[in-house]
Order: sequence, then structure tokens, then C-alpha cells
Amino acid sequence: MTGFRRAISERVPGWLIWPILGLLIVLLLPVSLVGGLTALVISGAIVLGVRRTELGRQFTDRLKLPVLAILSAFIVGGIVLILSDLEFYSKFAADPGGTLFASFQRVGLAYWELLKGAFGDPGKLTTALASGQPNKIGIALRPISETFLATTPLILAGLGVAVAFRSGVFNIGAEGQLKIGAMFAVWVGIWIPAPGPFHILLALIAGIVGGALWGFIPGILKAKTGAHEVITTIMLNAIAQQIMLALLLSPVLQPVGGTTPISMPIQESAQLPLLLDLPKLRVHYGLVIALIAAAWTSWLMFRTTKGFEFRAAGLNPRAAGYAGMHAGRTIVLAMIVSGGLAGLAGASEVLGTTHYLSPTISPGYGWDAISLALLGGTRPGGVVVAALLFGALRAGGPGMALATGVPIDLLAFISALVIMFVAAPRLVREIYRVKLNATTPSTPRPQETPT
Amino acid sequence: MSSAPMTTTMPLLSAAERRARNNGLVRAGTYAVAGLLALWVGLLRVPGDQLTVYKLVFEESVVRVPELSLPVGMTYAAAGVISLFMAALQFRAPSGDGWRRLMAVTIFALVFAVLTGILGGKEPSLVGLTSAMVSFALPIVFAGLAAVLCERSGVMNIGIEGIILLGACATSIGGSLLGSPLAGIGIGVISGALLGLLLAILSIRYHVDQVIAGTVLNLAAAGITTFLYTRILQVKPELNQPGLVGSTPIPILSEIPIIGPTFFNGSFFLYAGYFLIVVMQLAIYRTRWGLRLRAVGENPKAAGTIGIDVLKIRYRALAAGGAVAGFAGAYLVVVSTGSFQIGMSAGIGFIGIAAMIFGGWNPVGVAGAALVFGFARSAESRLGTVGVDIPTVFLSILPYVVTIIVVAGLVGRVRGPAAAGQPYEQS
Repeated sequence: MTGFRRAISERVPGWLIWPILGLLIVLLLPVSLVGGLTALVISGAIVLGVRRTELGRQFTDRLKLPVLAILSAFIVGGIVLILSDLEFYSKFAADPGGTLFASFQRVGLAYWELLKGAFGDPGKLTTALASGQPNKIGIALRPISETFLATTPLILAGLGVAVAFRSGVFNIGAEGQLKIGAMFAVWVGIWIPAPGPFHILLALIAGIVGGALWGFIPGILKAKTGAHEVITTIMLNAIAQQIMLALLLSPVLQPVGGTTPISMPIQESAQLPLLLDLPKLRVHYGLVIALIAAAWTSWLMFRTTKGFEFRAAGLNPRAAGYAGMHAGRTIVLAMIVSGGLAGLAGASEVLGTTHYLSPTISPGYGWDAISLALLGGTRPGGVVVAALLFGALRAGGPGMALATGVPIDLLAFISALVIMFVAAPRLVREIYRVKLNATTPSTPRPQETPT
Repeated sequence: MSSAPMTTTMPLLSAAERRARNNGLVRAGTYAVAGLLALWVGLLRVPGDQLTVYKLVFEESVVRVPELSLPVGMTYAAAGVISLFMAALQFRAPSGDGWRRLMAVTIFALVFAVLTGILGGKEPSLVGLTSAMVSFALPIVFAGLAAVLCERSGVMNIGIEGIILLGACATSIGGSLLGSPLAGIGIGVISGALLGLLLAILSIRYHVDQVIAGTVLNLAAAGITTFLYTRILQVKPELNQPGLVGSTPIPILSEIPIIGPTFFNGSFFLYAGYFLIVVMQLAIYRTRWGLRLRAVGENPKAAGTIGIDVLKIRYRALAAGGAVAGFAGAYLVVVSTGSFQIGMSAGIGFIGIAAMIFGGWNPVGVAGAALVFGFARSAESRLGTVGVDIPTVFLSILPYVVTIIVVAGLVGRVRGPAAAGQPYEQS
């Protein structure tokens, strides 16, 4: 086996063989063998071509770990999907080969539906564009619009988590910070009278302030008392949820005579405008805000003194302390920025997507944010790409569940596995026998305390 | 933001001392706030004529003790005053040594007031309250003991919550398949141990940051159990009926008024809890294994130098911790609800970690801390039904706020294993 592996790896870059084989088995084979093989050859050729240049080689090397991590997570997810099928066992005893093939096909079909739900059907889009009817175009573009819609809060919350990670603070409170931000924003959106764009700005700022406040608490507690941020942020997540439920049932947010925990709608002047004026498309200017925030975060972290201090604190708090940086202040500031970004995510959801607040305002965006911050190497650019991936999972999930009956929660499991593989480069290296250079995301060491 | 002048005379206090002082201030502030709240409740929120009569006599009992009747409002107010006084004492010497006594007095006063308030309402007897306290406390005890095992060996286990959840799920499915709750418990414990091992492999062998590994475990557990619930357990509910374990009162001890029904009339989980507390306390402080465990958690390099296999000890400690956490999950299924429910761990793993800190990383301390948390929960679930008029949101966030205060008010005081959370490379 090793001989075989070496023989192949002399011709093909070693790490390529496994993802391609995996992709072939899990995704493409069940749908269409010819299509699968074509896609395989084309993608292999592209990668090989790109790797002929030095820049291309660097780029693909950096992608190795995330790609392999995602792939492994989907393979494990597929195995779980097969094993959780109760009929599989009895059938397997009767006809092992056929059952296994059918199961693979079912997994492939589920992932295929996921892709279709996230990016749409290209054939449908071309016919819709040819017909020129806005209604049809809207329907064809809806999947990708939904992906971008889910990407928006994920980028913002992911940036927040990434800033904290880079600064050595393991902020897993994005979920709560997002909710508090959404609460602040919806309150301004409902009650403050203001003209159009100004109202939006005010509500967005309120969201940032709310999230920053919810980030400030664990930050100051860590800096002043040494309380571990993982426990405090998790508790603050639960507290945010309870406060939100209480406010949604109180006259502060609930419409008069309402019985369900759903807030009044925000005023029209506070609504974020839509990006595309086509029917069925919900993607709004929150996406633009998220991209601006990504650029701003990149500038903050890599072009300013404060960002340098953040990163220094994350890499080695002790050294940062000796260099005269104030460790406690850095932690608090990083948590304020981190919480503020997560709060902005909540604000964008309320102002752009739902226009009201409900307990399901975040279907776990704050948790996905952790995964994608690690997957993106805690760099703003990486976060945007990773957020797109997770947005696609979010958008495609319902389609998959509808078409194949696979519960969406499989995707939560898969995204947890993605973090595991990304955080364990050694594991990935051992499975795939590939070289991984030191482009792995820096994982924070919360326990190290500066003197 | 003025940059602090880094002259040589700057740090009068070391960082640790400063943090210990801040911990003291957090405690003082907490006592003060709790005292003010108690005063407010006592003076304004309780009808003035409410009386609680403490009778330590039950119909079936022969012994008669003089009755003691207390006005509820005044009790609250008195507890408030005591609490404020303790706050003042704590404030005067934030990092002083007498903090344990101050905290004990404050907690006792407040607990007594809350108790009086609850009994002054509709609650007929203490026993309902105290047995609810014990049944809330028990899973927290297990979670806390699991956390102690892991952290004493120097591995921070944030993933206990996830292990509990998966252990519960495994217990339910295993028990239903094998047709016996006991077999289910076995499955739950084994799967907990395996998850502990997984965590150990990730954090020790593959150098995954311990916090990230634990978080992964929590997220994966939440995802996979919800997935299994919707895919399997909802379709085949017969796979989610592991059966219940009844309670087995201990013959003579359970006859003691109040104490008997509270502490000696439970399922075998309760007795297993006592057993675990005692055994772990002895094992950690009185055996060679315990000495090694503590050495590995405090200074792995030194332990390794004198020939202790650091990694082996950590692997075993994590497997054992995982097994205990799985036991907690089994308890939730087999004693509390009789079936697996989505998200049924409900933060117990994290509160267990807080109980570990509160209890000073020592099993008996964990048990005491868990009782305090259990009391808070059982009081919370009853306060709504009796006369005290407080917005429910304050009650529902109470356990989380208490956890934050414990973590923020004590970490500098009770010191954990020095090496917890840091990876160790064995050559």
C-alpha cells in the first residue's frame, strides 16, 4: 500500500489524491459517473496547472489544511449518515455490496441537494436569464441570494471571534453578543424617530454598542479578576437568551396584545435596503457592511499599533507585557471590538433580514463563527471565504432536509468536525500523509497569563 | 488611552495579588448587592404579616422541638443587613484571609432568608425543597468531579457538557436496545470514557488547544445528538425508553426527619455520588496515584523528570473524568426524565466547572459547592409559586449570574493546578 502510494505521489502532488478520491466517492459518483469523472479531470488539471507557478504553489499549500479538513468532516458526516440509518444494518447483512453502494448514493444525493440548495441550478438560471422575466430570475437566483444572506452575519460574527482569538482571548460568546446587539438595534429601530439613512446608522451603532457591552463584561472580568472567558461568555450567552425572551414578552418590544415572543416590526426608515430589486431575493446591504467591516478589521489588525498590540498579546502575552504593552487593557479592548462586531451581526439581521426580533434570531451563527474563524486562519480574508462556505451550508441545509429527509443538525456536527480537523493539523497530516507547512491558524492560549 | 509609564517602581502589587484583591472586591460587591436585594425584598416585597413557623416536628415523629416562628419580611431584612455587614468586612480587607468565614456567613444568612420566605408561602415542608436541592445538585456533583479529575491532571476539560449530553443519548439508546436501564447506564459510562479519551487524544497526541478541543466536543455533541434525535428517536420512540431507576431508601437512616428523606432516600446514583466523593477525596490526597496526579497537574516537567509517565496519567484521568461525566448524563435520563431530550444537559457541565472552582478543586468542596448551586436552583423553581414578587427573568438568569460571580470572585483565591490547560511534550 505504501509503495502504491509513493508511486502515485511521485507523479501527482501527494495531498491531492485523497481529496479527489473522496470527492469522487462521496459526491459525484452517485449522481453521474461521467460528470464526476469530467469534474475530476478538470479540477485536477486546474490544480496541477496552478501549482506550476510559485505563487500558485504557495496558495494551494495554504489551502491544503482547510480543504482537507472540510473534506474529512464531510466524509465522517457521510459515515454517520449511513450508520444512523436503521434499515442499513438488516439490509447490509443480506446484500453488503449493493447496500453500501445505495448508501453512498444516498449520501452523495444529500450533499448534492445541499450544493443545489446553496448555489442554485445553473440550467435553471440560464433559461431564466434567457426568458428575461424578473420573477423567474429571482427564483433561480434565490439559493445563492440565501447563501449570501446567511453569509452576512457569519462574516461579522466570525470577524469578531477572529479578533478575539488573535488577541489570545477565546471569545465563544458571539452568540450572546449577537443577540444583545440585535436587541439594542431593534429597540432603536422601533422607538427612536429618525429620518431614513440616519435611523439605520443609529440602529447599527446601537447594535455595536450592545455587542461591545456584552464583550466588555467577560473582558474586564478576565483582565481584572482572571475569570476564564470561556465560562463567563457561555454564561453570558445563556443570560442574553433569557433577557431577550423576557423583553420579547414585555411591552418594551412586544406589540400591544401580543402573546407570542415576537417583537413589533421596526420602522421602515430603519430597514436596510435590498441589494437587488428582484422578487424572492432577500440579500441586503448588510453584506456590504460586512465586507467593509472585514476590510476595517484587516486594517485594524495589521496596519495599526492597536492591532499590533492585539496580535502581540495573542502570540505571547508575557513578551507583550515586557515590551510595555498593557495586557489587561488589550484584552478588554479586543473583547469590545470582538463583541461590537458580533453585535453588528445581530443588528444587520434585525434591520436587514427579519425586520423584527424573535427568539430564533440566530440559528447558531455565534457558534458557526468559532468554526469559521478557525477555518479562515483568524484572518479577515479567510473569515470571509469561510463564512461563504458556512453560509452555503446554512442556505443549503433546508433544501437537503426537504429533498432527502436528512436532519439539518448533521451540518452542525460537520461544522464541529471542521474545527476539530483544522485545529489538529497533526491529525490531518497523519491521515493523508501530507506535508503541511506552518500556515495553521494560531490557536490562542487563554491560560497563559501575563505578569 | 495613556500609555502607562513603565518605570521600575510601577508594580506595587504583583498581577496575581492584584487579581486576588479584585476577586475580593467582586465578592464584597456581590454580598452588598445581595444584601440590598434582600433588604428590598424584605421591606417592600413581602406582605408584612407573613410568618413562618419552623417546626422540626413531623406527624410521624415522636420528638418534639419547640416551635420557632419568624416574620418573613424581617428575616429577609436581617439577612440583608448581615450580608451588607459582611460586604463591609470583605471590602476593608479584599485579599485578607478570613474570606471563607465571611462567605459562609453570607451564604447561610441568605439561604436561611430564602428558606423562610419559601416556607412562609405555600410550601408545606422543608423536605420538598431539600430533596429538590439534592436532585439538582447531584448531576452538578458528577460534572464537578469529572472536571476535578481532568484538571488535576493538567488538562482543562471544557467538553464536559458535551460528554454529559452524549452520555445521556447513549444511555437512552443503549438502555432501550438492551432492555434495561442498568445496561444503559453502563453504555453511558463507557461512551463517556471513550469521549474523554478522544479529548485526551486530541489534546495530548494531536496538540489541539484544550479549550478548542472541548468546544469542538460540545458543538459536535449538540449537533449529533439533535441529529440522532430527529433521525432515529423521533421515528422510533421505542428506542428512547430506557426505563427509570427507582429510589431505594436506606433502612434506618432514611427515617431521620428532614435529613433522612433528603440524603438517604434516593436512587443508587445518590449513593454512588457519596462513594465517588469519598473515594476521590482519599485517592487524590492519600494515595500514590493521587500524588502523581497532582504532580502532573502542577508541574509536569518535574514529574516527568523523576520518571512519572505524564501522558499515561493524563490519558487515564481523562478517561475516568469522561466516565464520571457520562454517569451524569445517564442520571439525567434514567432518573430525571426517563428519556433523552434535545439539549437536556442544560449547562450542567459548565456549572460543574464553576463548582470545581468554587470547591477549590477538591471533591468534598465540589460537593458543597454543588449543594449551593442545587439550593439556588430548587429555590428558583419554587420562588415563583410562593408570595415573593420578583420578575421571573431575575430568577431564570440567577444560576448563570452565580456561576460568573463564582468564577470572577474566587479564581484568584482558590488556586487550581498550575499546568491546567498547557500542553506537555514528553520526550
